[in-house]
Amino acid sequence: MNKGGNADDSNRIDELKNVINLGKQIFGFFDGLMRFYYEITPLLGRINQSIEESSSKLPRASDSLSRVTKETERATIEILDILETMSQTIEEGKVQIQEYRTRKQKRNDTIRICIRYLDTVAQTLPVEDAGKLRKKISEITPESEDEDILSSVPGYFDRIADYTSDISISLQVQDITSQQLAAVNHLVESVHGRLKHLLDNYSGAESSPISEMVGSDPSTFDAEAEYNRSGDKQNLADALSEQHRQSPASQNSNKEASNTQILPTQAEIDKMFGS
Amino acid sequence: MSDKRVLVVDDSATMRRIVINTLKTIGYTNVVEAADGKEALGQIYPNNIDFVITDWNMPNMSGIELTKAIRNDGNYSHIPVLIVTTRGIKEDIVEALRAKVNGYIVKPFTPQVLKDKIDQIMKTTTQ
Repeated sequence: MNKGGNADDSNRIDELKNVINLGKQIFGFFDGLMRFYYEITPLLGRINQSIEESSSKLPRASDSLSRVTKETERATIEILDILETMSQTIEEGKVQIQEYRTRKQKRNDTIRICIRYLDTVAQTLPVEDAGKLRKKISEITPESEDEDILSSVPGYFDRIADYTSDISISLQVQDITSQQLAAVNHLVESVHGRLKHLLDNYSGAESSPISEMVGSDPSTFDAEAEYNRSGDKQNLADALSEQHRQSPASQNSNKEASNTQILPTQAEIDKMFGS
Repeated sequence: MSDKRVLVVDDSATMRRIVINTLKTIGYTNVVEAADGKEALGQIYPNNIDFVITDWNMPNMSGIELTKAIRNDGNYSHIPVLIVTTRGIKEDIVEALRAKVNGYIVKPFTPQVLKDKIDQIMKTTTQ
């Protein structure tokens, strides 16, 4: 054995040692990885089961929200039916009161004619008899107090009609909340679609791309709908409509809508409302 | 009482009912209803509609699409359209005006607002 050969052998032994050491490190890494895998697998299974359970409940949540909308709509229409009946009854009541006042007026006119006639008759009677007759006449004189009460009744009816109108305005909240519920429903359906996609991927089943998942159409509701009776939004709409109406192109098209209507620019709108 | 025939378009049965009840109180008893823009388009010709009151957000065809369809039809482009919607931001209002609506009402509305808008539109479109 020569000197150079010994050096080669020594190098090979060092390399082998390095390989063995690396192998030990890699083995340790894989050992750790396997331990982690064994620990994580049941956990992943539990997460999967939990997602499956939650996901299966989402369509029911979505159905429940739709049912809430339908049931509140049905109840609201029942209330509107009652309000309409109330309005009709109020109108009938007003007509009846007016009819009664007209009849009463006619009767009073007749009574006044009779009183004038009796008064003429009293003038032809002896003093004592005339006094008795005049006393009787005073008892049948039409009183104006009834008329005061009767004339105030239509005012009460009008106020009741105003209250029914106010209730009708408040019932618009049903449409607004149904749009808010539709927005929540859309969110629930989106979450369900994504979870289903995730589960299909996990189980190796074929799944549709997320973009193709069917949910409620977001253009059918206004997610920003709110019940606000301040009138601010109506004022804004009125101001913009007025500005639009005064634009020259709009004035040129009285009866038919113009193709060249001039609308305020965003800068003009912002200036108008200080925003 | 007005002899004008009004088409009320809204996917919410509640809103259709509220608008129709309000119309009755201000003298418009000749009313036809539709649940979306597509159904509304089919109602205009057979019912000889004079005035359309429509919601914005609806399935099948929105109120804005309905307005554009009416404006693009030579036979019906003159029919006034009043939009009644929850949408009340500047961009939405401008979009509706660009689609050539004749009036814009933000929900919730009062009967007086509906009456004023109809009177105003009737006045300007019959001048």
